[in-house]
Amino acid sequence: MLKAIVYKEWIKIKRVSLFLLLIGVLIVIGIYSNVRHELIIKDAESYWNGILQQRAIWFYVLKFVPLIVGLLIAVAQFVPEIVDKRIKLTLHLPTNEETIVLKMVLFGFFCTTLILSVFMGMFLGMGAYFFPQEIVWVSFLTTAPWFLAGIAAYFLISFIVLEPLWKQRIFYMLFGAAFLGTFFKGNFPGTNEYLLWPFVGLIACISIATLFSIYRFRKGEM
Amino acid sequence: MLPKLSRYLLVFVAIFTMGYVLPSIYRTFFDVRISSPNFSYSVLNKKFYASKYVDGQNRFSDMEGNEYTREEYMDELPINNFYYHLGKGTLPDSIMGVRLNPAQLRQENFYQGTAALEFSMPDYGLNPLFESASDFGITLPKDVFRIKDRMEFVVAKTNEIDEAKSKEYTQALKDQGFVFPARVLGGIPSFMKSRDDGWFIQDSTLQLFHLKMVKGRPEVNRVNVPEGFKIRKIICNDHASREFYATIVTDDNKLYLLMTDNYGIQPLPIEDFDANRQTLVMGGNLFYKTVILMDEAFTKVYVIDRDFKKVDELKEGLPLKSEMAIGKVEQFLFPFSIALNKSTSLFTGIYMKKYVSWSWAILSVVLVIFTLVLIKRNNRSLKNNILDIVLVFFTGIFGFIAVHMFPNKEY
Repeated sequence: MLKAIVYKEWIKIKRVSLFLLLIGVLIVIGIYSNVRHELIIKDAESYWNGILQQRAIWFYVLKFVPLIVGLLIAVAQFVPEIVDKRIKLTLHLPTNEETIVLKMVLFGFFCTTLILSVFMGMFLGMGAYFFPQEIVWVSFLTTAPWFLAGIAAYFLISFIVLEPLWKQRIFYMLFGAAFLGTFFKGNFPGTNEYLLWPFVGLIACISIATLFSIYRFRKGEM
Repeated sequence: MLPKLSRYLLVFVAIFTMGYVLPSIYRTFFDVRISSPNFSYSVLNKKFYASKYVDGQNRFSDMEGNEYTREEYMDELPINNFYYHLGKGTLPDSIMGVRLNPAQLRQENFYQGTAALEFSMPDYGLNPLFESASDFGITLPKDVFRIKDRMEFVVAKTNEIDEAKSKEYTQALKDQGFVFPARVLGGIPSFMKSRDDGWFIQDSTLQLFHLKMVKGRPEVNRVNVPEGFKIRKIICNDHASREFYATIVTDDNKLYLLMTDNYGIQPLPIEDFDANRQTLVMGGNLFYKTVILMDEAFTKVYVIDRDFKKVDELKEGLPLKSEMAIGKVEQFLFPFSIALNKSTSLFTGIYMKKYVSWSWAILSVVLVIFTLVLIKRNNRSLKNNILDIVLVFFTGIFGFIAVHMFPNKEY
């Protein structure tokens, strides 16, 4: 059963995942091509001074990329399910419907996390070539909430798309936008050190939110 | 069971989000500006004066409530405003028997400010060591240093460690008895300064050292400090007077000056500084130093003479938002509020503010009654909604919106 679900979900998100992976990799390469260019045309110590003393952030372009990844994967995975209410077919399979939906969400979460991990790995790995570990670590602390926002966006969009009523969807979108906004509050390098675990906890809370939508769907909310 | 759990988890996240968003929106629309007055101490009259921004205008007064024009205020404070008097040719020849020399006034005049958030901010732990005896002004070095189990210089161009320089400086520190790693570092990491005095570094055994690079070579001096001198922050300066290298704040919130004369540690007679929430402003002139402690509740000013004895002090309360209409309405609307940023730290966090007043309970009761009416009207059982009602009571408007946004329907 798990194999079949993975196959079905992969068909839906394959194109968008590979496209986002390519775009993200190009963005990270772009960021460090720019860093390399700056280090060549300026004095390296002056560029470092901008980062260390003026707290310059050289990777702002990355800020909303993880959010877009989570959002598009969730849309690609769950919008086809609500077109003509195809999710009904899945929910009528002779197995526990909650388990099926959780497996679908788990697969989407796995793909989103994998893509974001590739971005983060490349971002930090290439960073370590140009900068000392202290700058790489602070870059991690600065970008980590943006990446967590991508995972939160995946869970929220899955939950919102599967919600049967448009009126509720609009409320949920407002709530989702306000919640996701909290991940982008720190604008100073390394400022989010103590907020990462609370963010992980909040994401864990919304990770099974799709079960609430499916429950309402199954009970015939129209 | 799982759908019910997922609903309550969503309600919890919604309460968190509302607790942050609604008070923010409320303050965005209704916040009021509180301008704290600037206090100055007159050498001439030995009393405090205040300048305050009220209704778009500067108002000048003394502590007895006498109002002054701007010109009168400038005349009452000739030393604090000596540039004004120099320009007008009205600077007195002498005050307190001391002949006033403009060059000396300029040299002795200083001002420095340290906000509470400078005690709580992320730090890279990488700093530049400037050449202190440069013939061509202060320029950025090609490397930055870190101090862990040794002193290391990382070259910016190659991102590699300069082993020879690292060994030389590590040895120079060890030769003076430095025990790695460092506890606290203080210096001016910017090249926008009039001179370089290097770095003051406290080691793991609470010894304090002064490290400079002189003609490319390390110069390390030991600073004698009192027993158990746990430094929290070393605030260095490049004041023209060169009277003191730095202001030192210890873990127990005591203030000291690190004097340039033989590295003396001079305590300041300030007993109630709290680095976690107060802004520390220091100013000085030929006659006195003023130390100003500011937070949202009050401003306190200490006047200290050249022998570091307290001459006068002033404490003025500020209007508290919690006692104004904006604060009272806020306490009525919200049982608590959540902020992700605060003015005394650059670290984000979940900063929850619980109000002292219980006026929010009135609205909570109204919302509980409203929720009960809705439950009755929709023929839902009270037993299944008891947790919702408890949530609405304790989290007020946040919980009310959350439990109705994620309806607890019975099918």
